[in-house]
Amino acid sequence: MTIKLLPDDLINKIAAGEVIERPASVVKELVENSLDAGATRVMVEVQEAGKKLISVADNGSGMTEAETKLALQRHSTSKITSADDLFAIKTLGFRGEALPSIASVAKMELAPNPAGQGLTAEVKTLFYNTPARKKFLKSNATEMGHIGDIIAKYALARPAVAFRLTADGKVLLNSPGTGNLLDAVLAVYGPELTRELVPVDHPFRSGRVHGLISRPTISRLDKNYETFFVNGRYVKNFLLNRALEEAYRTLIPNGRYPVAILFVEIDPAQVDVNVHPTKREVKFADNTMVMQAVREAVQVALEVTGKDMGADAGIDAGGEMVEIGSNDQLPISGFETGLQTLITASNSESTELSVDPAQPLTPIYQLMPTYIVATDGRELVLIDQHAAHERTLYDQLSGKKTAGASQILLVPETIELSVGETLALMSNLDNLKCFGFEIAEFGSNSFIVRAVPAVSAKIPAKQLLHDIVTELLEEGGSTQLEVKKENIRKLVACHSAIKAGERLTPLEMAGLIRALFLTENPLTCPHGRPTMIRISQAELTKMFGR
Amino acid sequence: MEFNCEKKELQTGVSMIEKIVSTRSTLPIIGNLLFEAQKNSIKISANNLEIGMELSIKATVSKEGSALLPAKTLSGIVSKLPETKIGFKLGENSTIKINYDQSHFNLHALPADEFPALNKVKEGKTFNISPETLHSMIKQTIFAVSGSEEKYVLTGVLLEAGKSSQAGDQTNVRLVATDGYRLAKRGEKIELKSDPGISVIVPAKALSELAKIIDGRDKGEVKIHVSNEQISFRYDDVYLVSRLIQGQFPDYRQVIPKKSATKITLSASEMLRAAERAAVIAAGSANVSAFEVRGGKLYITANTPDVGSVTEVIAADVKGVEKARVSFNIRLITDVLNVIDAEMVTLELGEGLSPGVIKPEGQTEYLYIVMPIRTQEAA
Ligand SMILES: Nc1ncnc2c1ncn2[C@@H]1O[C@H](COP(=O)(O)OP(=O)(O)OP(=O)(O)O)[C@@H](O)[C@H]1O
Ligand SMILES: [Mg+2]
Ligand SMILES: [Zn+2]
Repeated sequence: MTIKLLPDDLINKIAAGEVIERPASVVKELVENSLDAGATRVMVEVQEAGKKLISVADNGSGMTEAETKLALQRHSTSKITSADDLFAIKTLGFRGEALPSIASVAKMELAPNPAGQGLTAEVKTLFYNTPARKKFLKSNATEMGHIGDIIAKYALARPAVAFRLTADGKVLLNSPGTGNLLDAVLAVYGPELTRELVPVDHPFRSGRVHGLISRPTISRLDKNYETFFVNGRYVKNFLLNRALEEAYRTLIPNGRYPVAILFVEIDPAQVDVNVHPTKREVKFADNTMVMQAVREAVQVALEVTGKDMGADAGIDAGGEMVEIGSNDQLPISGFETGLQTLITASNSESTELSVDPAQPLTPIYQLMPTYIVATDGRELVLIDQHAAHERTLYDQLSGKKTAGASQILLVPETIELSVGETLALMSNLDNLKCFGFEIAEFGSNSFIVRAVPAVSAKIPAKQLLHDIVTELLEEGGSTQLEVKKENIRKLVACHSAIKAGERLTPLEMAGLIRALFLTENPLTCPHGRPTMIRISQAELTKMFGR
Repeated sequence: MEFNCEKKELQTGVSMIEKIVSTRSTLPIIGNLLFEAQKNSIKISANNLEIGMELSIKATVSKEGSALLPAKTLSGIVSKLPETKIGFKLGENSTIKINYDQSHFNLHALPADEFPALNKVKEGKTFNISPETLHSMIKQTIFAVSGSEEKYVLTGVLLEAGKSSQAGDQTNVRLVATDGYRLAKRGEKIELKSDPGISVIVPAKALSELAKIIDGRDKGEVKIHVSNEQISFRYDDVYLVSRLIQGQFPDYRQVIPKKSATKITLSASEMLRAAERAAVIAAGSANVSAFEVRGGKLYITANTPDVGSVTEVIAADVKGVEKARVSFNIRLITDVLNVIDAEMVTLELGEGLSPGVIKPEGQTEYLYIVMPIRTQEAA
């Protein structure tokens, strides 16, 4: 065996394998370079999802012709000079690896702007010399999606930088670069979502957490809307996700996730960004501290909005609300929404509202959609749909006839649990069966579900059981896994009930109200929280100062 | 771009397409409709990135061109316009002037090239079906899909085209939907030139939009194209395209009962009315209602403590053994009776806690399976 030094171009290709996985990786490296060069405008243009052309033009510090040659050499960087610098990195790039890597798998040109300001990097025929990699590229739509994602993340990370992404001549994203995070969010996510965000700003021992998070009234089915930046760098770090989700724990339905754009500013010495070739992962010196900071920051922000929506609702709601830009900057879609409100308002003029005497309360509107606004003609009543439904199901679970009624599944489902969850389930199996579950063991840590409580038949069986087991584990702790039968009843009622945010038809609202008034205690949910808030005429008179 | 068209044409087109425009969007641009004026017609497109639609309306075009108009605003205006010729003119600084009689609107338009183009199904498997048949197939299955996003494949409807692998099944197009507690299957034997061998899951939303388009239409055919990721429907001037749901649909063949112990035939409307009355009482007890076949009659009973009880008795033609009480969620029964067109239905029950099967009498194309509820009385 002869051992040889690898020729430079081969080293570059190997490095490229790690850094450049797909067109989006090229976009990411070039955009990061523009940002490091202090650009305030970054225009990205791609053709055929970057397979044919990627061009990034900026107005940053630029380079001389001579520097463009040097930049293509491996480990040439202007960003760090000594190993010490590695521990206090403030720039996005630092390895001096990106440009040579790209140049080894594509035709690349760096064109300094003749005026001296800015640089245009053009990358053509990506992977022309690495057919294997080319073969693994996904459809244009998928690759374009990744590119869009990168630009969106950077538009959020740097609200002061104007980004424009054009694909085959079409503008996909255009952020104004006003320096206001809300404007960037508006460009990326649109007005609907932007309206539902509240600000976060929270100092901690070695830094600060700030940004925007969603009100608990909205949530998403996946974590893709949870975006974190550590010292301006977009990162994926599941501890940060977990800290965020913990803060929302009881506020949004299980299995759904909040929207967040959060910036963690932290002493650079406290974080290591050099753990992954694409720099997307970070390691913190003190995980617990960072997690706690994020959790607290979110909790504090949510508490403020919580108060806002509670007792004072409608009176002083403007207080903590996020303002979306100033009026003259409002984009066209904002104008459109305004007009839309006018149109719907005039549409509904003709509908006559009347109180149904056969109903304990007549529903008028589903707010947020979490509360039913109702009236008996004298008082204004707000009903919490989840709490109300929870109460009716709880009572049905106490009834002789329906207590143990089991809705049988079309096809039995298997569910796999962790060791802890298995123990929690086993310790409570008898009580779960009492309320209608039919569950049998099916190998280690896995169970087969044949039936669910009859009251739960709207919820997918697996999700229901998983949710309940998760809570059993929390409630019981490790020392005593068995909980009281009464607790199981509450859990089944809670997890089978309509959730906040679920839309109801007027008929469903009326049905829910009727069912609620048939229960033993319509005024509170099984946990003792109110199901409804009444505002009397006297209170209204006082509030309006009449 | 400059054209004029009849208000009626415009309103029909806009109201049909406007429903798929997304208002909850991460991409504000898709809250718009794309107008393209060419020759004697206007092509209107919408795209919410899951479902896209395109249709044409007749118009007199004096200048070809295109523009993006905000969908909600436009539809709000169009429905209130007088029944007359409506003129559209794209002016400078991208304003659209909409004029009629002596009045006009100015709407802010966006350049058309920012709109995400519809991703059309170019190659794949294909077959044609009559709009009437397809409409009834959708109506009889779509209600059984799962409302919960957690069980994503069940939010769609299984579409199969081609020979059935199931013995005795003569149909060659089938729609199947289930939420895990009941299942609706509707088949049909249509003329197929070749066996397209299609088995895909179509989002319920796409089918419900399609149903609106073909509702009440009996001429021509709906052309269906299926690729790996998408499905498209073309009817008349309307083109609808949707992405498919990827995943494994439950094997419905396994859950269809092979035999029944009791088979009763009764009036569909009588059974529906009885079930709806029982549902009022059952609402207070998890919708649990008991079914019993005795002395040539079907008994449906429900009771809720502190509210009351109900006993409905319906005359029926009974074959096989009488059936002791078995309970069902009455809502799952009224659901299906609402979509069955036949005068008479059959209800088949097995022994013990086996599933109930409801079919229109004498038809093999439609089948509804509902799982029973075990109550403590029955146990
Ligand atoms: N758009 C730009 N404007 C000005 N200088 C640039 C630009 N792009 C690259 N450079 C210069 O070229 C050098 C090499 O860039 P390259 O991306 O290869 O390495 P890096 O950014 O230092 O580190 P990394 O490989 O980790 O991203 C940079 O250090 C910078 O000095
Ligand atoms: Mg770099
Ligand atoms: Zn609850």
